[in-house]
Amino acid sequence: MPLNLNPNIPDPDGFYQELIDSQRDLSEAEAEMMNCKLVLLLANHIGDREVLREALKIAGGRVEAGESAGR
Amino acid sequence: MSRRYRNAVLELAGEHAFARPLVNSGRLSTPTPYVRSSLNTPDEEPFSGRMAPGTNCADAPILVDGKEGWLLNLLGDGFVALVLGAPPTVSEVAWGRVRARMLTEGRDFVDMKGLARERYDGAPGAVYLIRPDQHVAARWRAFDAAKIERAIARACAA
Repeated sequence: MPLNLNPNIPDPDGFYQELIDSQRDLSEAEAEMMNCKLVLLLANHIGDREVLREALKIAGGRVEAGESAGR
Repeated sequence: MSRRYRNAVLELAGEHAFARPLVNSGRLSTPTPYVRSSLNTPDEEPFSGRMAPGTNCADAPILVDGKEGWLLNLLGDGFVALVLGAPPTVSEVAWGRVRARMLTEGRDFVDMKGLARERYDGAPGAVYLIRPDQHVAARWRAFDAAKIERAIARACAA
């Protein structure tokens, strides 16, 4: 299943507000730590390496093709 | 940035099973000593050998339940307090919800060739706090639960 790039979150305004609010009182370092944890949590939830690789690319990461990039 | 992900993995691994394979993936246990990391607790007492805080753990052949094995196989999967000789009376040390499992030489494994003690400069009573990624976080000449708790907190960048 490819990465879903269509709107998929019910109440998108509400989610965006919640996301921003969740970091409102955090320092830069705390927000960075939270972002890292969030990425790891959501990546684990997705689990599909192809989908994750596509997301890494679209987000602007430099990604080698194929499974060999794994270890 | 890799440092931040590393810290995020270590914090998550204390509470969530999903993050533990990431700790053990090899990415985090590269043989690069993090001897300058602020996550280490500096030595208070003299130690010889190379197992300074921040160093990836040396292996040693051991006996577990009478069977030959390797020390590294007993480390990881959360924090471990490795005690060489002189077992303390407590079974675990915890900082909040992050626990350190006690691993005592003579009780949980036998250092059959004395190599663990040699490699860890382990006079009886020596205690090593080992991170989930099999790196030394801190070490002491005697067991002190409060010091271990503080070192766990520090290793979690708290």
